[in-house]
Amino acid sequence: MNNSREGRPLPRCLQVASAAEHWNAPLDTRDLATRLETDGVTDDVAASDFGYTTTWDMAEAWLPRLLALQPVERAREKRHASWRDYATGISFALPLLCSIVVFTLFHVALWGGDLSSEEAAAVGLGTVVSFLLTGGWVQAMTRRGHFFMGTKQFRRAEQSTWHWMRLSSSVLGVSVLMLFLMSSYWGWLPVRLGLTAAAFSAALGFLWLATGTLHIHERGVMVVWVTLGGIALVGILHQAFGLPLLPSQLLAIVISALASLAIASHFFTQQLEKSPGVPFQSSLLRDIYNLWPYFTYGILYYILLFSDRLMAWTAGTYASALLIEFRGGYESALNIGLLAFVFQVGWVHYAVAGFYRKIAEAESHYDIDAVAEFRDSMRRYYWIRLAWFTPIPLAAGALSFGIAYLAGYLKGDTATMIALWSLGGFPFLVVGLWNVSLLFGLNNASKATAAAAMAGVVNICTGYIASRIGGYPYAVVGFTVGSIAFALLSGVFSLRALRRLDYFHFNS
Amino acid sequence: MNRMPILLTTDGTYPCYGGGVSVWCDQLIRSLGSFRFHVLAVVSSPSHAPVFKRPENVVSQQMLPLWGTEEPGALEGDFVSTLLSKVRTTSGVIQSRFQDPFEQCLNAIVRPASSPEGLAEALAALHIYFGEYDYARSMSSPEAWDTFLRVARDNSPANDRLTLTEAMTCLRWLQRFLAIAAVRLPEAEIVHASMAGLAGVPGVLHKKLNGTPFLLSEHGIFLRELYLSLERMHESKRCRRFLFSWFEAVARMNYHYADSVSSLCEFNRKWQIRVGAIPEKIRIIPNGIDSSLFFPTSADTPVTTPTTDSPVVLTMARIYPLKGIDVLLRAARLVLNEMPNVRWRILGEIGDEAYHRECLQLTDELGIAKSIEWSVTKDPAAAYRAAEVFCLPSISEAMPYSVLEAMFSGCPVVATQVGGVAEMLGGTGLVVPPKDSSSMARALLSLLNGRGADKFRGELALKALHRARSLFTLEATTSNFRSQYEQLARRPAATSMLAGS
Repeated sequence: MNNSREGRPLPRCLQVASAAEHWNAPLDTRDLATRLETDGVTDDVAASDFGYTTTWDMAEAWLPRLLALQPVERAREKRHASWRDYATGISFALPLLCSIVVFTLFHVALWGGDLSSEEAAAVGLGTVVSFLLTGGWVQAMTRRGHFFMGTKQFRRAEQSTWHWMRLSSSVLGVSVLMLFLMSSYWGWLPVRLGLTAAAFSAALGFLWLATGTLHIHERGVMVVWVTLGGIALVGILHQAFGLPLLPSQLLAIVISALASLAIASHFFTQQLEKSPGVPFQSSLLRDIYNLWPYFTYGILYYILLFSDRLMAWTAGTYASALLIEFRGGYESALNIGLLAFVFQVGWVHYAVAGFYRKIAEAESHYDIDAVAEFRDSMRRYYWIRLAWFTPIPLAAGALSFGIAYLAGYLKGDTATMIALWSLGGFPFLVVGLWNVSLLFGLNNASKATAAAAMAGVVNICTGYIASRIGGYPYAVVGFTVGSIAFALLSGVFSLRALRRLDYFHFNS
Repeated sequence: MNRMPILLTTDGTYPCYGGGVSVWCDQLIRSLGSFRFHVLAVVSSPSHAPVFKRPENVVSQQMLPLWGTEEPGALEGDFVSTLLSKVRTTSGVIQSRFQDPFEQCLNAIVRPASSPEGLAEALAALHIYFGEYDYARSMSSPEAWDTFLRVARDNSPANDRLTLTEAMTCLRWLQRFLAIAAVRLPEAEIVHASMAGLAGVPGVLHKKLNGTPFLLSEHGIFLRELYLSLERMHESKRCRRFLFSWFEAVARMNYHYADSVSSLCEFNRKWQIRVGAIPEKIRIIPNGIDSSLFFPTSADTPVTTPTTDSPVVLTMARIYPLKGIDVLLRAARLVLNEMPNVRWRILGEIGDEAYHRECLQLTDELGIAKSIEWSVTKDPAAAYRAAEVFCLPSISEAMPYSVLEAMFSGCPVVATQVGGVAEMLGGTGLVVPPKDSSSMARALLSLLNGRGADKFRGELALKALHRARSLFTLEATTSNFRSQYEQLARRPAATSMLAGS
């Protein structure tokens, strides 16, 4: 394509063959004239070197030739490895898995362990309360942090994160203090146990908030290390230095939380060195408006997850000196389902990531005349993904149950019954989590929250009735039925969103 | 000082970013101390802070971040009123009051032959609507999406329809860009836009709604620079075409409604006419320099000293692709082959981190890292005076301040023949083709190496100094704009849409 006088090479913008895949065809003559000018083809050069009157004439002459060329196909994106998506998904549950494994092998845990029944009840209660008091804050804080990190507003990400940490820690402290005072006043727990429960609520709540700051940096693996570090510290303090277990655990939890904050702060500093920005004036009303579904969902999810335990601990306590009684057997049997859950939950991220890749692919494939076909194809894909999930809980459930059975972990019919109900419930919880992830991704957060709220009510009502009629082990029925409700309701909402998927995805 | 302020609108420049347009805005405001200004700045993200100190005659400074907010068009401030307008923005309201002007706006974008009046009317109707109802809720509504799909379908051949991905990309862009129509405009005597893109929209709205005179000043040619950006974009051709159509419609509307269009040079004027400006409205007002800040070492006899042991080639530019720093580096390699002792000072903030990294890598590959200094300076005048040659390797420019500053400082210039650079130098500096490192190296060597180089530098610098002092002073620029303001302010107000209704 040499058209110049005296063999002068063509301007680069006309050497299309060498421009490889970054070449964009000019939109019109003005576009090509601009490109020629930036390649040094002034009117004089166009005349003297290429035989055209002006740059403009040259552009007009060359445009049809360039437009006739086929654009070079862009390199296709690399295929994503499914195992990587699965591993990312499972990483959120890794701290839990590590805790279970370490406790099974070494009998050391960050909380719980070899405690008296009363102490176990106080620690158990403290743990559940810590999740309930911080779940909403963690959701809101990470949502905000991710937004600012995603838009490279690192100063604001940092400012917002510490703002939410301060606010949520203060609210956590005040709430725990009030609960402790109320417990002491009305005699829910003896002061010593109330103090233990309060201390664990506050310390663990602080840890959940602090590890949330690591999730803002997408450093889930750090959370595993922090958890393992905390467990190791308990081992050192308690077993090597002979410090009592509860103080050792509390100290280790607080140190782990502080370590998380220090690491998060280090990451922020690194980001700010690259790209500082200006802080902003936060508005509580705006935050409430933007974040309420996420905040509420964060609380409701833990209600859904833990209300069966509260039902079990408060059922049939006539003979107990306390209003609640920790049920170690119930907890152990439930852990079998929890172990299977860890292996299933990886699927959620895998399925969601796959779903959004599929949307991108389908949206590039279907044009605006084929919106109905696009929606149908994505609905089919939804069901296919769900069908592919079916073997996973079966395999994970069988594996967990088999290990527990062979290890002699299941003692008696009641434990087996609880384990089976929980193994039956967790897959529905996973499906619900998948639906909720889709709903969040499609800007339908309030629907996700509604599903969690309704499922929580189902869980509490069913669990209460079942545990009061059949005894505390039947609280697990509430969990399973609640999880089924969660999967169904969130599924209905997701399918409704899929009916107008193009709009909801545009609006996400 | 009882006059109403002038509304100065900017896009991606003053007061949050450096560069020629920002310097011009700052100079304009400060040198016209008898006028008061509102500043409305379109910025890319709310995280950008002003980098210019606010002059005393700026009565308000409002930012519109296009990106980086959770909702499109969300302005930080009074949330209660935003919330109330969200509540008012029901589906019925969207259908009855938003959908029609939105559709009219879309038609004005996608139909090449549509009139500038059509877009202006649609934007004015939307502006009035957004005064009462919520921008984000309307622009994110199912009605907005459906309308967009319908207009896109009706205006494209069946074999060239947008894919859903492209439709989403285009409407998401529009969601952000149309936010300019939702900005509350302060009362103003004149609207002065510093660019023919989004910054011009408030001028058109003010003129249509209140009859306010509208002055448009262009530095680079907005649409020409847009072509250059689109060339590097990774979006599909249909998306690029849509984006261009939107901005072309906006620019044509701005040119149509502007009472006066100022241009920096003849090169720009030619382009403005090509992209739709009315020739009779265009007036050339070149940039000006404050000669009390930029002057040669010796008052009237610049560079007469012989080349030092380590001569300095200075480049003063933001580091981003249009500045052609990579070409300079290749030229540096060629010069260093002949004169290993030459030092290169590249002073400017990093405008594009990826490009900066590429340049650093290139210096390593070329083996010239030790000869290059990357920095920023707070005393550019001293840097010009300390340099043997100033070199600007840009691939697109209008009338770069750096070249004028070098001319005023008695520093001989080597620059690429882009935009109005050759016009500005008028033979008092060396111009070379853009993206041509060999020519650039030859030009630099002619000023640095060999017998007669010192004399040649001195002659060029002196001629440049005289030319600059006679044509490009700040006083001349300021006086031009003062008379433009006075002229526009004296005009009888145009019939406003509101008065008409």
